[in-house]
Amino acid sequence: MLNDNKMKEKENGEHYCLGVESTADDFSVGISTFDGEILANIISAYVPSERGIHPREAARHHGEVANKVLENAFKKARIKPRDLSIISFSQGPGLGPCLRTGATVARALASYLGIPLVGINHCVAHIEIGKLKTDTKDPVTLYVSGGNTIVSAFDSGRYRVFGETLDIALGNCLDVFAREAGLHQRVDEPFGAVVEKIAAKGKKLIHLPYTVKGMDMSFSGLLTAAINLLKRGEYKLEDLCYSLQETVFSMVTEVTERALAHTEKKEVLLTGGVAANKRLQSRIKAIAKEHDAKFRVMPREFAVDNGAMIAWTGVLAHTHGIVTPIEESFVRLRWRLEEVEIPWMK
Amino acid sequence: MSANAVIRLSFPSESLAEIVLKALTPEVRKFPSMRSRASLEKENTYLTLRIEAKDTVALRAAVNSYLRWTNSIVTVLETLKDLS
Amino acid sequence: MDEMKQPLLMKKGAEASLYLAEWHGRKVIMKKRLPKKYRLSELDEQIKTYRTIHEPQLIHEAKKAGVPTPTIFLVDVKSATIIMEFIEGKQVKQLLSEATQSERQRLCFKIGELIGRLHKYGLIHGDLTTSNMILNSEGTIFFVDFGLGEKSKELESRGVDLHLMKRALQSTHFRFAEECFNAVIKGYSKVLGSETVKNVLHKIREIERRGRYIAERKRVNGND
Repeated sequence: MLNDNKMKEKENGEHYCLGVESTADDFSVGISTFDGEILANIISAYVPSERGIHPREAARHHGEVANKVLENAFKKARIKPRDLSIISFSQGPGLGPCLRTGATVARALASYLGIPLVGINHCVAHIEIGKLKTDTKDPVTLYVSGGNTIVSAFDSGRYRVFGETLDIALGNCLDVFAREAGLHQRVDEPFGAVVEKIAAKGKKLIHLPYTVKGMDMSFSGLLTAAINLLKRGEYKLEDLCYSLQETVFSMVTEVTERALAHTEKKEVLLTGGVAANKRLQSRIKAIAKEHDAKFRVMPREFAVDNGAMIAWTGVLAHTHGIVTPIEESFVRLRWRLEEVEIPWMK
Repeated sequence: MSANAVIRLSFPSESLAEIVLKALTPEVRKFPSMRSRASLEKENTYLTLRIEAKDTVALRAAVNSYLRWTNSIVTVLETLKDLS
Repeated sequence: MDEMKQPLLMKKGAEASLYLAEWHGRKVIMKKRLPKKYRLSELDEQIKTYRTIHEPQLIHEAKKAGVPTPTIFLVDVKSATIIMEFIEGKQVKQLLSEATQSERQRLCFKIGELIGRLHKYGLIHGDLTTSNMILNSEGTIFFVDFGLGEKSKELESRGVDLHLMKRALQSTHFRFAEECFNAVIKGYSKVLGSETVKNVLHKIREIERRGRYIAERKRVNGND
């Protein structure tokens, strides 16, 4: 089907989609062909000062780097702006000021080039690029990042949420703990990686609240408990990092396993910024094996927030008739994964 | 106290003014802050942005947002022209 | 447990495995929490022990609250095994999919009443899904699987419990999730009164707003 479309589009000289991603602390532009070849994926990360993401500061960063990132994307892809046939952008969920910056840029591009605009759900995009890059068809997806913790699987036209956090995201829990512990992150070594490194030296398991309710998880109480123990100064940092990791990873693994048992799907996909953690990978791999499912983890470039996933999902959406008129392209801060119809899956 | 601002932006062409107007309109119609309101009007090559805010802090935040977005759009479109 | 005759694996859940067995001439369910390789053995031991001890306690308490639950026959903490009555009947999960609208309404209202009784008594089920509810031939609904339950009268816990019920309905019965949940709330309201229900519904909305996208818990006060 895509091939037919591709042929038709080629005759008309239009077969690329440019995607803009700006939900949180990364600004990114990706370019995808209609058959899923990613020609460019340029990411500019905003590294916050020690007090954490300030949405306005991140948005300011996005606005300042937008033209440079765009230029690099076109150069990498070796195409001209007029070669594009669609502009897609991540419409939500995310931080207001950040989303709005990406949205205004995307609208201007579409309007200048006179081509359709497509608003994409950020969480759907993570799943779609995951399927594209790992060659999975219908996985249970565990998406863990600084902003999201979602276990989902496709059923009857939509990606259903089987489990999620009831308060803060898993990645956020690790970040805040790291910051409280006075650790520092860099562009090439985010807090998650710093915690992972320190945790590798830990040996002693310290009791922390393990909170799984039904299919959902809560990390907030656990984070508070970990910070209190840290402040008491009775435990080694490496043991605290180790215990924190072991507890939160066991929680998401338990929920992922329940989704796998419930849906009986034969693939598990791990994505999001936290997917890079080896310890988490080995856990998810183990349950996949136990349920005879294939385990796939996203490479970091496509696991973190990126424009390529927005571009590729833009292709899928547009070839299935979805267009977002510019005047109706409001950002959607709390757009749920389950609200999105997925006409390209059966 | 309330704080208002009227900002007049002059663009090199009417088409550029039109693009900026289109791109910003959704952010005028649904601006999230309860503490400010904005409207946007185009006349030839000019855009007039009117902001009404509850106080100067809210006014500054709103002005900053709209001007930054406008600036990003203009620089991005310049880059696009250079690439063509 | 030597008297056990040919346990038959009924369900390999993520949390525990359920076996159907015969024990002193009775049909029983043997619920066994198997070691999870993905957890550190120390953590695994803690969780298994905790759940094996607490589940029978909660099941017993639930009966006092007026909620039908299986009778516990034996608890063996060392092997993380619970032996309990086998409830002959059908899972509400299946029934809901086959039922007519009025049957669904009746079932969900009844479920709401039972949840109300639990909450009124200070019990939280912790895993309210329609596969954890069984209707027997006499028309009694049994709640099973209290493995993730707790004792609490807090609004937050009650809100989360009902939120889970709503989520379970949405993920397995999405076509009529809303009408089902409304019926649940009606039944719940009958037991706990409209004032409590108002507060709980408010809490549920708050919970639904969380978790979607939370920026940073700590950040400089941006006014967005």
